[in-house]
Amino acid sequence: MMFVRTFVFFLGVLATVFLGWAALVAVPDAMISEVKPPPGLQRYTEEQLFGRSIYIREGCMYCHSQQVRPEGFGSDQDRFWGRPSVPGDFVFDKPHLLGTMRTGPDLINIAVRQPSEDWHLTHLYNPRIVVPGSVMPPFPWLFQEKVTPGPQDRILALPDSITPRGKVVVATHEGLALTAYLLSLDRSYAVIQGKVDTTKVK
Amino acid sequence: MPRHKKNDIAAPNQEFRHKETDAARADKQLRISLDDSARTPTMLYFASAVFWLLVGSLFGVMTSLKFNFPDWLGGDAVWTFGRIRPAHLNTIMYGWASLAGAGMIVWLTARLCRTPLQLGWLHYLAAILWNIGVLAGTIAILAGYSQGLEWLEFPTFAGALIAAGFLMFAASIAQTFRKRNVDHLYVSLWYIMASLLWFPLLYVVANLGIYQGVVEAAMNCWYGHNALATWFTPIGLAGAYYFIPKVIGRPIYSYYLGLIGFWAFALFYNWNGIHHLVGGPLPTWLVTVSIVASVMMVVPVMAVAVNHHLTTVNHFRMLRYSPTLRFVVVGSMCYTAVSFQGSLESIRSFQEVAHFTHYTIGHAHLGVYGFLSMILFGAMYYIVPRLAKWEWPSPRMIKLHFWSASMGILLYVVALTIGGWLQGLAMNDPATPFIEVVNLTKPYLWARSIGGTLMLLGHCVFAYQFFLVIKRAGPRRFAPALFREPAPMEGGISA
Amino acid sequence: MTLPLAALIVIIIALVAGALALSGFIWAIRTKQFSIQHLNKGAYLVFDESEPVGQSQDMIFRPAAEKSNGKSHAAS
Repeated sequence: MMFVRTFVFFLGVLATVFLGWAALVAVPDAMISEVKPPPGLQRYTEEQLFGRSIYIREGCMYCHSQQVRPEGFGSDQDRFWGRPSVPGDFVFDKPHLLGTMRTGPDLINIAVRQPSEDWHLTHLYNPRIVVPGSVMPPFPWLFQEKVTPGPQDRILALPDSITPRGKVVVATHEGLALTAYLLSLDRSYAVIQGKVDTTKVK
Repeated sequence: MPRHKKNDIAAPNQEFRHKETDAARADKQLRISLDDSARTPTMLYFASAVFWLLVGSLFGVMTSLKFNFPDWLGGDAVWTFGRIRPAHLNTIMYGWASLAGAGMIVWLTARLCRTPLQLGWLHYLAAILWNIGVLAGTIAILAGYSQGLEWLEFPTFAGALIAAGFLMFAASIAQTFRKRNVDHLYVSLWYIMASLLWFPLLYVVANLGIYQGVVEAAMNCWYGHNALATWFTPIGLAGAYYFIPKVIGRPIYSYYLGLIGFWAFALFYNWNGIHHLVGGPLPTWLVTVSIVASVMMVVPVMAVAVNHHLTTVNHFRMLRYSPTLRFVVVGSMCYTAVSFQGSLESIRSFQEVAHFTHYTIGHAHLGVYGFLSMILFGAMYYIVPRLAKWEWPSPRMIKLHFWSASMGILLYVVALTIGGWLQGLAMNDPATPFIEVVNLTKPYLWARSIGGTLMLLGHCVFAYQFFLVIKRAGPRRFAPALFREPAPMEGGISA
Repeated sequence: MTLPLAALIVIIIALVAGALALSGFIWAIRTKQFSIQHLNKGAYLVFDESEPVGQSQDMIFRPAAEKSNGKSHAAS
C-alpha cells in the first residue's frame, strides 16, 4: 500500500509539470509552427547570420530586447520602435533574441531608425563617442588598429582624441558582420493579421 | 506522540536536565550514524558550493560595477558585460545554489528517511561531473560559446555533464528513499522527491533544442521559471520546513496547510513562465494563463507563510540565539515577500511599467538571495558542525556574515525596486529621451554595486570560516557557536 | 492549429487533469492513506527521543553562573 501511495504521489507530481508543458509549450508550438514567414521577411544572409552569432556571443540580448509591444502597452509605439511584433517576424530566429531587459533600446527595427553603417561601427567601437552617458560596453576587439589600411578596409571616422596616434582604426570582419546583422533588423513590412492574432491587448 | 505542554520550551538559560533514557540514547546513536553516512557527500557538495559562491559573487560585483564604469576592463572580450553577466548567473544557480542544495538534500534525506545514505559513492562521481560541467560551461561562456538562451547558456556538453551528475545524485537519493525506515514522509521530503523527478525532465526537454522562433521564447521562459519552481524553490522550502520546527523545538503549525500548500504549489507554479513575455508576440490566451497562475500562487505561498509564521510566533526571541534560525526565518519571510511581489508583477498594468527594467532584477535577487541563499546559509550553519564534529570558531564572524548579507540584499533590492520602477515610468513617457532614462538609473546602479559588495564581503567571511572548520581551527567548543556568549572552552568530545 | 481548437484541447487537458486529481484525492480518502484525525502526526517526524518536542536546538545559552558544570550537551 505504501508503494501504491508513493506511486500515486509521483504520478501526480509528473502530471503537474507535464500539463504545464503541454499548455505553455506544446500547444503554442502546434499553433505557431504553422505560421509562414511573412512575405516581407527575408532570410538572413551568411554574413548576417555570422553577425548574429557575434550578437549572441557578446551577450547583447542582456540589455536589448527585440520585440515591439502593441499600442496601449508602454511607449513602444510613441517612440517609433515599429509596428507591434507578430510571431511571423521571428520564424528565422534560432536562438530567439526577444530579450528581457531594456537597459538599451529595443532593436528589432534598428535598421529603420539608424541606417548608417558608420554610426553603428563607431558606436560599437565605443558607445560614448556617439552617445555620451551611455553605459553600453565598448567592443574594441571587433576592430583593429592599423598603420597602413588596405584598400578594402573600412576606416572608422573617430574624433582625434580617441584615434591612436599614427594609426587608423579599421573594422574587422566580425565588426562588419555584426553591423550587417544590425542593419538587417527591419520588420516594418506590413503583416496580415492571420490565425495567430497577437496585436489584441486585453 | 511525545506529550508536551504548551510553551514547554527549555528556556535559553536552563539546561535540559534529564537522565538520558535508553530510547533517547538509541535515537542519538541513530542520528549520529545517519549524519556519518551523509558526511563526505554533503561536505563535498558544500565545499564546491562555497567555491562557486565566491566565484559567482565576484562575477556579480564585476557585472554591477560595469554599469558604474562602463569602460572598465573594456579592452578584453572575456570580461565584457555580456559574458560575465551570464557567467554570474550560471555559476550562482548551477554552482552555488544547486550544490549547496544538493548537500542539504543528502543530509536531510538520510535524516528524514531514518536510513543511512545509500549508494553514497555515487556522489563522488556526481560532484566531480557537476563541478566540471559548471566550470567548463562558465569558461565556454567567457570564451564566447554561449548558446544564447537565458539560463541555458551552457553548451550541450557542459549541460550533459551537469545532467549526468544530477542523475547520479538523484539515484542515490532515490535508493535511500526506497530503503526508508519511516512510514510517513515529512513535508520536506515531498518537495525533495518531487524536485528529483521534475528537474531532470525539465532540463532535458529545455536542452533538446527542437523549438524555434517565439515558441522557443515560450519554452525559454517556461524553463527559466520552472527551474525555480521545480528545483530551487523546493530546496528552499524543504529547508525552511525542517529547520524552523527543528531549531525552535515545536512542530509545524498545521500539517494540513502544508499538504494544501504542496499540491497548490505543484499545480500552479509551473504554469507561470509566460509572465515573462507580457505584451510580447505570443497569443494573448497564453500570457493570460500564466498571469492567472502567477496570481493563484498566492494560495500556496499563504499556506507556507501562515505555517511558518504560526510556528515561529511567540518564539521570535530565539532569533537572537540561533544563526540557523535567523537566516532561515529571514529567508522564509523573503519567500513570502518575493512571491507576493511576483504575483503583483505579473499583472498587465504592473508589467507595463516594470517589464524590461531593473525592477525585475531586484525581484530575482530577492528570490534567489533573500529567500534561497539565506535558507542555504542557515542550513549550512546547522549541518556543517554536526558533520565536521567541530563548531564554528567565531560567532562574531557569523554575525558579520549575517549582517552584511542582509544589509547587502536590502540595499540591492530597495535600490533596484525604486530605480527600476522609475526607469519604467520614464521609459513609458515618450517625451523622455532614452538616454535620460538611462541616466536616472545611475544612482540606483551605484547603490546596487554597494549592496553587491556587501554581500560579497559576507561570503568571504563565510568561506573563510568554512575553511577554518574543515581545518579544525579555532577554539574547540562543545556547544553550538551562538550569537550571544561563546560556550566555555573545555576538553571533552561533544556527542 | 486554430485558436478555438487549441482552446478546446487545453480545456480538455485541464478537465482530464482535474478528474485525475479528484479521483486520486478520493482514492486517498477511501483507502485511508492519511489519518484525518491525526493529520498533524507527520509534523513530529523531525523530532525523536533525544531531540524531543519542546527542546530547542542550536541555541543553548549558558549564563556565567552555570558555565562551570562542564556538562556536555548534545551538540549533534
